Amino acid sequence: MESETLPIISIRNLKKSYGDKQVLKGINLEIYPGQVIGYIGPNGAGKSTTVKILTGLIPEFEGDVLMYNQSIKQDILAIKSQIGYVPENAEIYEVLTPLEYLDFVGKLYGMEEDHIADRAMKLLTAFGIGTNADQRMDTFSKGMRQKVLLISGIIHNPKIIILDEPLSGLDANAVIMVKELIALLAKEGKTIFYCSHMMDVVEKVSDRILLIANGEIIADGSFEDLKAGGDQTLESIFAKLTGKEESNKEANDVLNALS
Amino acid sequence: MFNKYIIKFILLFKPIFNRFGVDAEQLRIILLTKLKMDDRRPNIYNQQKQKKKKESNNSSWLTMLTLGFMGAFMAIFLALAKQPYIGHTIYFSAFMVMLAVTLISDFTSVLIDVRDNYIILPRPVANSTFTLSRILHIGIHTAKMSFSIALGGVLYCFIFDGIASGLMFIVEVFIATVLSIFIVNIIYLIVLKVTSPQKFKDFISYFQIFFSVVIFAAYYTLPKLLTAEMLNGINLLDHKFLTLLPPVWLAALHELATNFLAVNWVTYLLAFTAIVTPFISLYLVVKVLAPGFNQKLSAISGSGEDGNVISSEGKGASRGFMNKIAKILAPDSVENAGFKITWLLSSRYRDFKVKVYPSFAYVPVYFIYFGFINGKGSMTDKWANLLDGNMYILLIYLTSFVLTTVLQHISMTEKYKASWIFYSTPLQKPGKILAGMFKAVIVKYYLPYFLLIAVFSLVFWGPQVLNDLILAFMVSIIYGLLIALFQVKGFPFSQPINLKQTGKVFIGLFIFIIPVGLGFLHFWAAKWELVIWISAALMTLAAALTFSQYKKESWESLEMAD
Repeated sequence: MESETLPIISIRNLKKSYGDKQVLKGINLEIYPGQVIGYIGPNGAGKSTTVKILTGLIPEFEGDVLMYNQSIKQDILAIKSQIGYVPENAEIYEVLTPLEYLDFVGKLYGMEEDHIADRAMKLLTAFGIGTNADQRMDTFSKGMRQKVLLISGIIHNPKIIILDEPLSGLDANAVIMVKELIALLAKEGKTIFYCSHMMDVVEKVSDRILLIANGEIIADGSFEDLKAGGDQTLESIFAKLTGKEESNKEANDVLNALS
Repeated sequence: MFNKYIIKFILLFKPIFNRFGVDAEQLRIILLTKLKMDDRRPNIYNQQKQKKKKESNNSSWLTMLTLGFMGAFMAIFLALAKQPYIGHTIYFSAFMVMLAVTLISDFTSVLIDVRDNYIILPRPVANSTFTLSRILHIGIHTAKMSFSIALGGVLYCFIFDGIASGLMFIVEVFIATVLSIFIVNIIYLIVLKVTSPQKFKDFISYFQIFFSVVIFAAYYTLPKLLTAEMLNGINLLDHKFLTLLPPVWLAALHELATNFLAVNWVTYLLAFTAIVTPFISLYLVVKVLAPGFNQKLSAISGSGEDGNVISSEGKGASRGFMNKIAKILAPDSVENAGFKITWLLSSRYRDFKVKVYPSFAYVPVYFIYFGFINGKGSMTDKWANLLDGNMYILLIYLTSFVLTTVLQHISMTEKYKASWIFYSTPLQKPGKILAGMFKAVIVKYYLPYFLLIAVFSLVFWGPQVLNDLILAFMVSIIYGLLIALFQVKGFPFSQPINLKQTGKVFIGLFIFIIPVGLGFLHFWAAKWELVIWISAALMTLAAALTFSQYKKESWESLEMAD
């Protein structure tokens, strides 16, 4: 695929510092249409910073990010309209109803009112909360809010979808549904950038896994490629590569502290 | 620090607590933590202070200080009215209202704190310990408040009326406190009976709004209305229905303490009522009201879910009054989004409503103050003078106060973090959102209010004031736009309440010169009808130009939250 198609996202020597602390230390990546990228890493590794740069929420950084061969520094708005973003633990206007919220978000993407209403209703129904479309979201469970958030990230039918812990709070059926949805969206040619700490899910949904630690990409490949090192699960690969193989020892230390 | 002593005092009763199965150590820890949280909680008396970055660790003491000042002010009535009953009746009316209102508006958040269900109840804490901790917490809070309010009165009575009066005053304060709690209980129960948990929180917001208005109105009008001569001219017991009011019973106790031999059987009866009713009300609170109250309270604290809440703007996003107006006034898609989000959120965010709604009442209060209270002569004379002059100009310019209050709060909320969506979507011209926001503010808040005042002016001053109305409206719009341009600088509900306001106060004062200056010119030129018509046309043009400038606001000129 890589050799035939142009990359949809090219990250070139991406660096970002907060004060003296360098969070990203020169990331280089090429992402191709239809890929489902699993982006994993320990806390503080630089995942959120990468995502915020890709979505235009952090405009100042070193290096460059190209989408459709165009630097996001040049026309971030055009880029934003192609991206669907579902942030982790995001706040929503919970005093609105899902329809009111989606109407608002859709318009920020320049969609027509009737089109938004029609699509929002279809998506809400597909996610099993169609009957709650006119209810204020402050009465919703965490899972229901997460569904609205997911819908708000795809309502404009973006080409690139960036999902940060999208399964948070969802029930088992919704998790299965979203996993299948990710696969279907990828088949349609959408590029999915999927950040999560849930290794088993990343292992299943991603066709390419990127592991970031201390601001650097330390592993890049399919799950099969990464398994070549001898480990059978993504969890153990993650532990080995991030230097946390001794989790058993840490657990024992915790136990000892209790005695 | 002081909290520790309060708790030490409470723990003197440890043997009694133990007999009822209460764990004294757990009780100590719960109370200490709750009182610490009270000290860090913003409340109606120190919201301004919370705007500062520095975190408050002594908010309940600040509240006590504020209440202490108010109590000292109230003690003036004790000194002012020497006629039997009057001073103490007024004092305890104010005392009970203030205590009850403060309890309702300030302490409700503690009463309906759902966190207890997750933090305390899953731990091995006995029901008796938990219940007692709640009762004592409320008790300590109430005692702190009534002590603060009463301090001025107690000192006055001891110093000027003697020891007997001072001691009796303490008894009166205790009775007034118990009765206030009883009244609060009744109010809670009535509200909980007729509303849903969601509405209950709304009720509290409206109560806070009502309270702000009452305090504001009382501050301006009472000192002028209540003069010593007027108070001393009243014989309270001539009005038999007044003997039904608890403050009159408390005043009877005072009469008993100071004029024991001179009082008649009515005073004895009222004093007896004052002594007996707290016991009856305590019995009613504990045996009758509290069980039902706790049940209702747990319904609020439980899931917090109320599945039947439907959008007040009608079902669906494409229908309803708001949608029709939005389509006409903000046809552009992004502007439409700004219009609707402002319209919807402003009617649903309680913090916004509590800050903005009182301003609607300020205008009539100011008008009454300037027109009726501040001056000499009878009410009829004053009204006739008003109709003869140009006072309607003051009234219509005062309405701009509503507009600026709404605008100054429209970008702020505690829930500003939900505004991330503005920054992750492809918004090319943020000015469009701001334009939608401004239109929504005008149509939803300012225009209806202005029309009301306009109708009032047209009815009483005649159709010749029409040009004045148009001119004043346009000056207000320009004033609002300048506030929006230089002071607001944020998307609707996108900034935290404590966002730094450096320099904005001066800008605000500078902008304020414009309506004041133009208002004075208007007042002076009001007799030349043609001049007013021409000025109205010019101001309309100026407003249109300023609005087109506002619509072009760029990302660079906006202030964003961290």
